[in-house]
Formats: sequence, structure tokens, C-alpha cells
Amino acid sequence: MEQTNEETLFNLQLDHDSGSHLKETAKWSRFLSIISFICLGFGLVALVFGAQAMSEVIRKAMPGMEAFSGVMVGAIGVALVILTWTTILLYRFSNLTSEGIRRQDQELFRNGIKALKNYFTIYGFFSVLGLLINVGTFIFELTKN
Amino acid sequence: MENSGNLFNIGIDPETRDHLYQAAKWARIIAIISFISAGLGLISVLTGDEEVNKTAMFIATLIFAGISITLNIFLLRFANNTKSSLSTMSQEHFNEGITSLHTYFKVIGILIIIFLSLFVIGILFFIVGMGMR
Repeated sequence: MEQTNEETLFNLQLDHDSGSHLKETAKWSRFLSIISFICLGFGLVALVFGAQAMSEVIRKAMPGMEAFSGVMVGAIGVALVILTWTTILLYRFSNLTSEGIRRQDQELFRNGIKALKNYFTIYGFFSVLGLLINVGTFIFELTKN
Repeated sequence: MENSGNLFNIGIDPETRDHLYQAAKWARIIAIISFISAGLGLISVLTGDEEVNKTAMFIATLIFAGISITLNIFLLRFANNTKSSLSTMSQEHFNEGITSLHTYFKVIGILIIIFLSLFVIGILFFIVGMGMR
């Protein structure tokens, strides 16, 4: 513990400005995660009770790809799981960081920042994936024209 | 004077520094991807062969691209300032980075409140409209 104090003595500190801004950040991210949980709940209900109807819509939209409709519903389920995971990370960031600052607990604060890192890592990974799909679609559309 | 004082006993230890560095690295990637996606969205609307409502589509895409770019400028500022503060040990850059992260989440929150309010108003209009029939 002493070593940690020594290590941080001449380094960056969470001063009044950054501390209060980080507390506010935690408040807003908690609000965002709660809204996300509610939306995901609605999504889950829609998936559970509307999977059959959704499958039917996909089947009609893409005739000849009947086997594909189940895969599409499964993909929506996987997307819901990933979104829930990222929302949990955002919620963890807000709770641990604000608690860490309130209690002046270095470990809680560290875990809060770790949750933020994991949140941005997953968000970033899927952003890269989304961009690759977007660029692929864009090039396909250009060559089609 | 009070603002610059170290009223908190929490420091950025090596492990937290590493987490912050990784968070900033991914935040920068997310921001850059958002800029590229906004540009691609605008180009695809302009080059699209759909003539119907092309102006309306362009305006809608322009608004969304504008919001996305503005939002991600704050995320990019967080990434740049945080990375810079971690390498130079600049408390000022660190504070600026955290302020930008705060603004980023706050703007998203405010936008969500606006969209939810519009959604509720839309539903109320729909219910009133149905009742008047």
C-alpha cells in the first residue's frame, strides 16, 4: 500500500476538478445504462414473444432463404446478449467509480476505470466490425452501379 | 485556488494508468470510425440511385452525421488529452480529458431525453388522434 502511495505521490491525482467531473460522468453513464437495460428488456420481450412473427417477416422479405430466418433471429439474440454485457460494464463503471470517489477507495476506483476500459474495448471491437461491413456494402453498391 | 487543490486521496496508480491508456486508445478508434461512418453515410446518400426523397434523406443523414461528429469530437478529446496526460504527467490535460468524457456522456444523455420526450409526445398525439375518430 505504501508503495502505491509513493508511486502516485508525484503522478496524476484525482483533484477537485477531475473528481467532480468524473462523479458527474458516472451519474450520466448510470442514467444511460438504466435506459439501455429498459430498452434491452423490451427487446428481450419482443424476441421471446415475437420470434415466430419475426421469422415470418424475414421469410417473406427474403424468399428462398427460409433456413436463414432462424439464423437471423439467433443473431438478434446474440446482439441482445452483447448489448446487455456492454450495458453491465457501463453500469459497473458508474457504480464503482462513484463509490470509489465517495469512499476514497483506490481499488473500487481502479475497478471502475477497468470497467470503462472493457466497455470501450467491446464497443471499439464492434465499431471496427461495423465499419468493415459498411465499407464492404459501400464498395459492393459502387461496383453494382 | 480550491479547484486546483487535491481534495481527493485517489491517485492514478500504474494499473489505473494502464486501464486509462487502453480506454483512451479504444475511445480514439471509436471516434475515428464514427467520423468515417458519418462520411460514408453522406456519400452513399449522394451516390445512391434512389431519386425519391433524396433531399429529405440527405438532410436527415446530414443531421445525424452532424450529431455523431459533434459527439465524437468530445470522445476524441478525451482520448487525446488522457493519452497525452499519461505520457507527460500533465494534470491539466488529465482534467481536460475527464471533462470531455463528462461532456460526451452528458450530451448522449440529453439527446436520449429529447428522443424519449419526442417519442412520448408522438404516442400522446397518436392516442388523441385515435380518440377523435
